[in-house]
Amino acid sequence: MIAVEVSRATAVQEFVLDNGLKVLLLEDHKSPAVTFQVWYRVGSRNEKDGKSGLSHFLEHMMFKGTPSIKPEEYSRIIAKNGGRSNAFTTSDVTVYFATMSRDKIGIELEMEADRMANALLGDTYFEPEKKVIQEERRLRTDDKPVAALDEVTSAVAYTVHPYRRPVIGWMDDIQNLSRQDLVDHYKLYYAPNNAFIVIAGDFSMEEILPKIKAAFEKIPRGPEPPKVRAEEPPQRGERRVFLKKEAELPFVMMFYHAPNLKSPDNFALDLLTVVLAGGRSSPLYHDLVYQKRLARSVDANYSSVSMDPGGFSITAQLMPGKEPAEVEREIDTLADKIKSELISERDLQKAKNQVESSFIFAQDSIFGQAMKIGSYEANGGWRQMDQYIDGIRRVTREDIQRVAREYLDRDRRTVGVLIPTKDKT
Amino acid sequence: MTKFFPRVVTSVCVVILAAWAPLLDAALAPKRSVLDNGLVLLTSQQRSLPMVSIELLIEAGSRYDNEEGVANLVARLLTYGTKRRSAPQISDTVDFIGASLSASCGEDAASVSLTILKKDLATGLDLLADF
Repeated sequence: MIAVEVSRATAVQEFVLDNGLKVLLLEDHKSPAVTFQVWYRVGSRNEKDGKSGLSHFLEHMMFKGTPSIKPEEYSRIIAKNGGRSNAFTTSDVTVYFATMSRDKIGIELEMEADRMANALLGDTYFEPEKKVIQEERRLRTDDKPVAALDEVTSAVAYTVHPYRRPVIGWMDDIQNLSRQDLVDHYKLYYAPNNAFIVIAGDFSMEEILPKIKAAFEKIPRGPEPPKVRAEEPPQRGERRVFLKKEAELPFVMMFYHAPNLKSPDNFALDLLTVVLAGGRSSPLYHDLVYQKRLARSVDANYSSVSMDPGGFSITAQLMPGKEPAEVEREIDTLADKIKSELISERDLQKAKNQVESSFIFAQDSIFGQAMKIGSYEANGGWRQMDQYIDGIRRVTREDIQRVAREYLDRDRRTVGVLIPTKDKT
Repeated sequence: MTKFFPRVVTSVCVVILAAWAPLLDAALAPKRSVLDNGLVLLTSQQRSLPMVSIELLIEAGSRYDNEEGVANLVARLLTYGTKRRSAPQISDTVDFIGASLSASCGEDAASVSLTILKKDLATGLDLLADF
């Protein structure tokens, strides 16, 4: 085991075990609790056509036991010891975690090592769990108009890249997945060299490292998983998608293709979301919600932390009886203003203050800190976290104008519109 | 925090979780004091981050409703203008310092939550005093 180096700014320590498993540790003694997370570098991005939802399905089946832990016993053991545990799947990663008191965290550590190597993915549980996942899809997508709009908008915004597929999977794909698909996925991606551990909280390095080494180092390195090489070709011309669904209020979603952390523009794009929609004093809120009462809520979203280029989106939930076209016109007018006139120094400072304070507020919980370290590590390395605040501070008004002109390009956007109907769908 | 509320307050109570003193163990170790006007102040200090969370609890929850929904409506409208500041002025003050401000109503208490950087504490307290 080799100690690599310590980052002064974040105080994260990095170790790499002989089998390639990376361990990132952050001591924080504010409260006697520890968050332990295992991140696998696999998500819906790694799936093939016809096999969507595989990573998420496997996440469910990881709770079905090993030769030493009975099915569903994992969650019971964590709860019995006062801990909280769960797991989630995104397009880029699958993450398992528990937060427990410092004297109990070893229980979680050993069970994660056990299921990294020995998950049974039991045959008896496969078909019943399929029904659970299909129900989850009904509840979280099919029965949620805005989530359904988001799904269909992504499916149109991307033509080649796997981000066009939903993480939970298409209903028919879930139906057609076999247990062998899960076993193959597990063997290929759940290897120590394709995973990393993040621990944050009240632990001592001297105590926890030998425990991690004892539990995880015996798991053999796996073959290198295949790389995802799909690249979304440049969009030429606006795309539109309408979703008619039983709902009360219309919803407008504008999705613009935008770069990830690999582009230095990511800082200005983060600030642009705040310039447009950060708080009630932002132009989008003030104009659409407060003054004109066209929308109930508005938002702008951008996440630079993704494996491949993602999107910059502007969304609005409309007031009853308002026209999506009118809301689109207002949003476009506000975006055009940022493209044609420099924002004021004060507005830039306001945006920077908001980004910096959220960055600090997010460190208030050990779980939040572990999540931040993990998502940066999954996307190019946790050390980039240290450059974030400096990157934000360097952004100028001209940068905001430049990225607005470059990325808020109507020829490279997909507009999704939810049209409420009264029909049961 | 709200669960302490019915026993300790007269009408209003402020809970401040802040960054002041080093904490030797994990206990919250709250301190209680009462201002001349009866406002109860509960504080708990933590040094690790330069931020302060303030929870203003007002004994005006829905159990005091004469007409259904009034307590909630009043609580929700607190941040939409005071005698000294209009709604846009409140939003601009909060947004400029990157604070987070929200108001809500429970069965016992109406509450205003403010999370703010330590350097902006004076601005934050001035805002809260208005409500």
